Amino acid sequence: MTDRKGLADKVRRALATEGLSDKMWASTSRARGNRAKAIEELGIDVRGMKESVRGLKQEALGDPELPRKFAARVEENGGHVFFAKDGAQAIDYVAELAKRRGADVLVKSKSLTSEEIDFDHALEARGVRCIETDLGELIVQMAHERPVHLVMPAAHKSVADVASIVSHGLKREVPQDPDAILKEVRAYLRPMFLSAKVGVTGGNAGVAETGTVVIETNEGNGRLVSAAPDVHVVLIGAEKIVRTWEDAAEVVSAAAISATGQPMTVYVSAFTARSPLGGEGAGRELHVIILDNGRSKMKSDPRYSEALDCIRCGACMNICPTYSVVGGHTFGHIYPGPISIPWTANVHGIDNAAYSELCIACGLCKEACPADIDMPMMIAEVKQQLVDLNGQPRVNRFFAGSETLARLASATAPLSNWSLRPRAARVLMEKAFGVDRRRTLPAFSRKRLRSRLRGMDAGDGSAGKVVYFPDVSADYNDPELGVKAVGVLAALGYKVEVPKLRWSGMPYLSYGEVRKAARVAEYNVRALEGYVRDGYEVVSTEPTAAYMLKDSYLTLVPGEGSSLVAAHSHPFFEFVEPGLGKLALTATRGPGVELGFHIPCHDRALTVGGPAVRFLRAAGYGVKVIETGTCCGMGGTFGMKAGALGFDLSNAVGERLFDLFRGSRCGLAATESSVCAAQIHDGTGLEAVHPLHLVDVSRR
Amino acid sequence: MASQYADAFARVFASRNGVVLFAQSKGATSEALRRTAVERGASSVAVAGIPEGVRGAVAEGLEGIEVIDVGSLRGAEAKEAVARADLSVTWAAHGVAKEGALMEATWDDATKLASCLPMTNVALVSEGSFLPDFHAAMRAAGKIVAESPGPKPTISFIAGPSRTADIESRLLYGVHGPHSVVALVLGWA
Repeated sequence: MTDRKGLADKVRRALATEGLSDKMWASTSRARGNRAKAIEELGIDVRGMKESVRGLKQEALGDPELPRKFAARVEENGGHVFFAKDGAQAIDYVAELAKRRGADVLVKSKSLTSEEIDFDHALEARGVRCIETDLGELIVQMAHERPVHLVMPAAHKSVADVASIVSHGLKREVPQDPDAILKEVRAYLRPMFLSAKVGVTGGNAGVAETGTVVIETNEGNGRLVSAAPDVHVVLIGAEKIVRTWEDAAEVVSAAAISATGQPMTVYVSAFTARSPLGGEGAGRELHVIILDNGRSKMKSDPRYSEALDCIRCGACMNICPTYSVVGGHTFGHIYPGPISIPWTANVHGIDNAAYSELCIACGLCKEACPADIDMPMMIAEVKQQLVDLNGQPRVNRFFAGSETLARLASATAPLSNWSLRPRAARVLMEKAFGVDRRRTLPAFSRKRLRSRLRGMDAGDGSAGKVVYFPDVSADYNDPELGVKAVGVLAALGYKVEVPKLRWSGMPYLSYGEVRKAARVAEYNVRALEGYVRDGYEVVSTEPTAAYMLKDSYLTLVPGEGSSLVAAHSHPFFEFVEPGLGKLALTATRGPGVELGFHIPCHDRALTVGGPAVRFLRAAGYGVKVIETGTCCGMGGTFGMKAGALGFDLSNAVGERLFDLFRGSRCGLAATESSVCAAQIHDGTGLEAVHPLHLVDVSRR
Repeated sequence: MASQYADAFARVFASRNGVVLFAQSKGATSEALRRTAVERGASSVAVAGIPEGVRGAVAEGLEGIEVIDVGSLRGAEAKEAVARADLSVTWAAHGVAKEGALMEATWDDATKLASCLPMTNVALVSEGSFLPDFHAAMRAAGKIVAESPGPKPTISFIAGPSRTADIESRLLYGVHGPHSVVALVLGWA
């Protein structure tokens, strides 16, 4: 049973913990910035990198013999290989090995796979102490916590926290000075490295062609752990095995760029055999444990097999808006962040993945992922599993049914609008449906878009034919936006049709109703396919709708129809931009109004706001793009939900953006997304509108 | 005159807090080593994995300082001796231009520990050995491993001093490995 109250309490506690959100936000935004800088400075072709990493991982995972080939090479070179079905088998193996070698202390470099199987505690219970040697891991080990981030395990700790933890761990006073802490840790760990009989590392890649394990570190602890003790144990997930050294190079460089914005980590080590020490090879052993622990099951499940492409860079958590304010102890189980959701569901059990509700379906994790893993879709599948098991919480059911609600509210407008205004009505609505009373709700229009367009010039078709896809907002709430969009398209010479379509269906994905989303996608694809075959292009002013048409529908209803629709679907401003020279654009506000422009998350996969900004500038506006590098926190209707699992969390994310808007001194906000506009308005008090509402358009 | 790759390497390696020196002769190599050891106050220096033709220049540069010849020590004795050294002199098989890294190939872990343990590591690298980027270097590494007839070497890429950002994202050097890495690029070897 999903414990929503427990999750809400955790979120509340995280948001109330002094400095936690600020530290998490500072760490993740610095990592985002470093990644962006590296991509620019190194001239990285992000699309090419994604295709390459994804391609090589898929190829490796598609070869069922690869782990055996890798193992055979390791053994040829004198190493020992053990295939562990689960964590217990891996731990048994290491415990027995430690016993055989008379080791009651192990030194270990960072290994996320070891976290997955609770390696340290399990060995401790077997009388073997495991010393973490990565500084961040050592801090969390001394604090008896779990890593809060895959790459930055102690990102939630201040210098003072660390000094206190290390003082307690070393039983001597350590000053609140990072350099002093570092010296103490170095002095503490050095004899451990030199005296340990067994060292344990993870593996960023296993190279099948030579039986080589490649690891990346910045601190150099991996080199010491693997060289100084007589026995080196590698614990590596089966999915990390790739075919060639070139493939391994691609994986480790993509990981370094995506994780910290480094062209490569300070150290990349590749071990193929156990080397002697000072010419003596007796007793020097290499053991490679290849862990399954649910990976085979994931590999055979088309919903989750892509999760195995993960290279553990942490880029998805650096860009995740809600993770960035609550951290991995709330947004995570053992693995933290977005990619942890499918991993947790498969490796640690679906019940442990209930924190998936903290995912607001912004889609940015997929954008940041160097392996282009479709995390949003996998997370939606996890949510669907939870809904199937536990039922849909009332508030989520309410918002997942937004299309029906919109139809109803529109049919009863303006009564519906008036009835939602009084405070008492909002309190009631909060109690009955979980809609936060503080959130400004959109007004509904009695007359929907198709009615509004009746009798309007729908274009002569001299430039081509277009289907306009309004989605909920431009159909039920703001049909005037649809009218303006159709007007611009007609002015450019397009013949415009607005057929009967359903909404894009994104809220179904947000709330774990994947099957319903697929039915919507099927309906829309069937409706649009004929138009496309007839020469129409599909255009939407709502970035989420364009994203669904171009991306999510391909997965929801794979086939020729969705591919065709995706290839012929366009975000509005990108589509009209080439023809703007034919139009006269007049700013309706001003003169001298400076706009603060916000890029909606789903447009980051499409146009990154460029054509809309140029449209506004062409109309004479000064436009400042205001962004934190992640989502505004609204997440569709997530920010409309009451309390910690909605408005409060949404606002905690939004505050960072609101501060930037306030500091920008822009008098007006522009954004293409209807829900982002609501978030910015509620958070800053600024009027926030779609760019089309700010420009009068006519033919020259 | 440094090669284009060596120049590119020097820029990136320096930006990662590494130190790059160029030596065009045996004498200049000895002098650079002597100066580095004195500047770092090194009283004992571990020397490991240096090719025959360069050993003379190294020995000359370290005259008057305790030199630990890592290759002459056996077993744990080698590890302990390296751990006592203030500075090490090691050999890099290749330099990597674009990412600013050194590539070390070692057949004995005592040699590897020489570039891990002391506070300062001076890695000698031939100017003619530079490769354009990490991908090319990984290909070369794979070839060395695959074609190595006997025991397989360990390959280590080193792109500057040991560092961490685990305390409030502040960049700190020398957490476990060397606090300072000097790449001494040899134009003559």
